Amino acid sequence: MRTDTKRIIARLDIKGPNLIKGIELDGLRVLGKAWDFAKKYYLEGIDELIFQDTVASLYRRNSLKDIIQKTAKEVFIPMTVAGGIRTIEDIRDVLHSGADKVAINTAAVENPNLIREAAKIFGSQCVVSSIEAFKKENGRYEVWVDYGREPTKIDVMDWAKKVVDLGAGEILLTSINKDGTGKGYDLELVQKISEMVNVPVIASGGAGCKEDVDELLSNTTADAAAIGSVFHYNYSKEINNEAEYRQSLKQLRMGEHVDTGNMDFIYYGYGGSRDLLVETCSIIELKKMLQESGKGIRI
Amino acid sequence: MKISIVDYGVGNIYNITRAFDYLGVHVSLTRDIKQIRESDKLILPGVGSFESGISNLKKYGLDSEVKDFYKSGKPLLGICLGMQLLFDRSYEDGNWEGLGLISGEVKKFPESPERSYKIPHMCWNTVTFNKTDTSQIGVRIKEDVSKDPYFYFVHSYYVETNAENILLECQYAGKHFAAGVKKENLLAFQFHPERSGEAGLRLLKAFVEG
Repeated sequence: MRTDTKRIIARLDIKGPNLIKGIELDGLRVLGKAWDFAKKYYLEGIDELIFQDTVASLYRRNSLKDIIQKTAKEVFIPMTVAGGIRTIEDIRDVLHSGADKVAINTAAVENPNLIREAAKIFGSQCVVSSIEAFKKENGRYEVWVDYGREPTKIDVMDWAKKVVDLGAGEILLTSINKDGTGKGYDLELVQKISEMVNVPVIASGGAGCKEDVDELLSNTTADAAAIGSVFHYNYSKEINNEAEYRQSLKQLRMGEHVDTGNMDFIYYGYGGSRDLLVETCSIIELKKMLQESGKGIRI
Repeated sequence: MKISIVDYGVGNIYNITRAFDYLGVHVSLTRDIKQIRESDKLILPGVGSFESGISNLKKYGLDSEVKDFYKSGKPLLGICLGMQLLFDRSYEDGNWEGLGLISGEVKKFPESPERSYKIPHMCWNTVTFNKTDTSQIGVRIKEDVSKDPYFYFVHSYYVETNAENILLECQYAGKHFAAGVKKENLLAFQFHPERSGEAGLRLLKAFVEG
């Protein structure tokens, strides 16, 4: 009987110091301070954390480093940083700040040798290949870069094989079509990649309820499930404790130009015309359910 | 009490330091021979290849220092690659001689042609107690592990050694392997205690207080 477990990972999309969610019509919805969510999830029993920088640029880089440094002081589970990793120096910097792994997408597509170099210097276990996959009309999957903005004409299957050969120790696989929809993971995509490569695969994009995660683990050999909204919207009210926090946010807003996104959700509990597309649940609720349905889960 | 972590330029060791900071324990990251000799307890960390580990230790003259520290009878803790280096040899991309402080070998997990499991072993897995070690720290570790047996592993190579050395056992890829070893003043874990949440922090605390 196997004792190894499937990992339940929280994926935090970051802009500046904040946890955000990209909402189609409303821009970027701010859900709260990223650090608060990271700590909360750790205390609630999450297995791993992924911090995805959504507006990666030289200017923004320091915010993510700050989040990691702060988190690393009190959170003792594996952490991965994704977004804006372009050079060996970036990797070194992020690993020293407290990350265990870096996930690379755009920079690796532009220069695949970066993966080989990084694996040689830091070890394969630190190097994750982040693959954002777009399903085309002909049923094939195409690699996209720059956080789901640019197509590349590269086939995902070919790319996945290549990055593993170059030394990537893990694949973070995101379905662009499913991400943010709450309609479930792209099971076909996940299984195709998982059965082809010898390294662990994290499925990301689409989880809308705990049953979606169970479906993923029942129907694919994915090693881990990355989850966003299902957790974020469950904990955001608790984390953004009413009076005190909103007051401090208002003060912040009045004093300076806060270019971090739409704050309506925090203030008023909603953001524009979009309803919540997910059924939220807590980390322990999800884990218990998965364990009850026969999955190896750490509780 | 002076606790030092050997800094031999291999892998990401800062999170181990952070774990001790969190526990309120002062540790120094050092490769200075005098500091190491004067330490009351020593930690040998490590992330990366066996080859780079052993060659870096030699480069800084630390291989003999670690051996001497063990001979001094003072507590020595090995973590991940730091545990593997304590053994006789490793077959990671070749045949490399280790520090030989405990007898045993480091071998690669077999691949699964059906991809029913992956390499590296990268996940939380449970450990079981292999033997009852009657030392204070052995008893304490048994108590701690029975509270929460899940620890975070990241490795493609595992240690095979005599049962008498194995404190904690784990299984993966059809192999039962040493997750924790103990030999007199030497204690080592294959998993990452600094990445295993409260369960891991408890073990680090046990080493400090042990």
